[in-house]
Amino acid sequence: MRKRRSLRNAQVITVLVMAAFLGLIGRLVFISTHDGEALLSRANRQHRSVIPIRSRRGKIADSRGFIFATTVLRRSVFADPKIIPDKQEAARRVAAILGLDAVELGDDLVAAGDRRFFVIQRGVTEAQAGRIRQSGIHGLGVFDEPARSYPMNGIAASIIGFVSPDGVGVTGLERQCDEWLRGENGHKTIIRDAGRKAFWLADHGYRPSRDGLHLILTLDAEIQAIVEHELLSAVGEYDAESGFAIAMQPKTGAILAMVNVPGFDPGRYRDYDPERYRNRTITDPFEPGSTFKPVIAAAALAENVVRLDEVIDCEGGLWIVGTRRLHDHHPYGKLSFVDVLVKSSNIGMAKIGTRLGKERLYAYVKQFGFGEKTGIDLQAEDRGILRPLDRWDDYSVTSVPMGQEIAVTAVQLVRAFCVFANGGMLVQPHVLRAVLAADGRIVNDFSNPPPVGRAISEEIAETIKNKILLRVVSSGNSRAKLSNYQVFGKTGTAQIPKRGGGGYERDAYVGSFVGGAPARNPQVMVLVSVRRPDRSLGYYGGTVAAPAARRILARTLAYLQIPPDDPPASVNAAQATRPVD
Amino acid sequence: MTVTRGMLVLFLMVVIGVAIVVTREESARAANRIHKLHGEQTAIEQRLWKLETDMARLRGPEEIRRRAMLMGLRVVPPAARTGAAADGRAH
Repeated sequence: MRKRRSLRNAQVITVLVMAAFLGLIGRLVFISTHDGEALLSRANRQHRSVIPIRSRRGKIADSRGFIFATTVLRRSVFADPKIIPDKQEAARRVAAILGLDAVELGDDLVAAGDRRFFVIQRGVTEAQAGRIRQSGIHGLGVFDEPARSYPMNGIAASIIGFVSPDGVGVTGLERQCDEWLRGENGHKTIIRDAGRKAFWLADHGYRPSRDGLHLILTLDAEIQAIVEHELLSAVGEYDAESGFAIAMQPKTGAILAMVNVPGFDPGRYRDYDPERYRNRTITDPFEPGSTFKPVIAAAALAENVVRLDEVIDCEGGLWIVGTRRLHDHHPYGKLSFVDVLVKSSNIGMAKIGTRLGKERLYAYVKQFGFGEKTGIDLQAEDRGILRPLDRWDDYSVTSVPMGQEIAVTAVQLVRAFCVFANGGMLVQPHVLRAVLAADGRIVNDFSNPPPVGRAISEEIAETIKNKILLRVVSSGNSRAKLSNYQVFGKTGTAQIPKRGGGGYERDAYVGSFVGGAPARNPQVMVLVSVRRPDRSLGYYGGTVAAPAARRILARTLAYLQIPPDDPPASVNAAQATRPVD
Repeated sequence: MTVTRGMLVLFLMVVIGVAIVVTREESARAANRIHKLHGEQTAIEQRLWKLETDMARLRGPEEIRRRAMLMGLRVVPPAARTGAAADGRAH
């Protein structure tokens, strides 16, 4: 009897438990079929948070790994205006910590309305961030965000460019290579408890970020600094409006330095006139003046229209061609062809241009890469101005050999001079050397691009360099001369054309020097141009640009440890190239 | 079904329940640890990036020149120190 009761009790309990389970299962089925989705999404909203994992933007470094641009984490303060109980009181307290205007901040918070995220201040100090956290103001927080940093400040700014506050490239390589540099953000989905404390990483809720690729440039920060320093000195000394300079390896076309003065600091780009952001060495064409004469001389020699020792009548400084009167800066009588270039006679060159004729002149100018983009790996390159042959008039054959009726960019001109330094090849100027992955693996190798083609024969190139350009610098009192290296080059002084045509501006000049060293085996080619110097202080290329080019060559060759051509007797080459200790 | 069997079923259910709770608790603990480690990783990265930037700034040519001048040192190219005219003096 007792046993039977016990059995019945057990059966009742089991039935009850089973009924309870069935009830639960039924309720579960009801919830999941009836309003399961709505409840699930509500729960997700309450418990899940997707936290972005920011990728790190790639670095931009010079050829030796010195960093021009990198990324740091910046601490910033934000507000969730919707949940701040008293916005004016919060603004008063925050403003006191961050040193802001309390009234203005209060108005901003009110204006933000129901926005859930409002950045109060970016880039706060660690101490300020700590005080914000300790203040316990409801609806306020501190977050970290990547920010671009330019450790060398303004060095190479016009090439590097800068990014907007949200990390998008705006100018320069930052913009051009944005796709490589920016990487890809990741995220993690976390589940929070009732106290909003993270306690669970959701299934498949983690996707790591992919950092951006690094850019390695052909620029050398040290040479860039040298060129910037010397160009700035020249622009300051002659009270000029601006200047630009390039240092290039003549055999490879690798740009070692590219400078624009005045420049800007990419970390504070808003403080500068946007006009300064431009890389004027590739965007602004100018009349090359006498620096263009070696190009025509090479064409004349190649076409055998003149001999090196031929004597040319420079007409005593005035030559009338049709209705046009050509002048030389100094009156010359009869000069050898070499002296026409050494003394930079316009009349002598005009006569050589006449002998060449339009077609051959035009063909050689094109062969040296003028009138076309060089194809340098930087955006916004200008092609310069070279009028099509059918728009040349009868005077063009006299104007072009003097460096008039044509406009070139600095990079076109320095590349043309590289032709004389490398045996006649037209090289491909380039700034990008390689693209590296975050782990250092080479993704793209741009070093040593093949030359564009041959501009002139090796023999003509050597002749122009050794018989003409070397003499331009070594004879007389050239300010580009160095005692221990043989420098070759050419000065030029050009007037600035009026905007919209119609002649030239009065007393407005561009003084330039293009040259290289050591002549025996050229390693560096330099162009320096000083625009609108104060005429009373000097305006000739030989006065305003050549000294800066000389100092750049001297310091760069010493830095690169290039053995001198002719070391003084007391100094041997080993000592002369001893590294800095 | 005997009481013993019923108790056994209940006991097994309790054991399974406890096992699930313990597993979930371990998972939660691990997830929490991962979350914390991510936080630490971010903090370390932040320091690393800052140090890297500081080093890049200190290695910059202008900064080296400035500090050398502050220390009263002259930064002279090697050829110039040997007496050659690499300081750019013209003839």
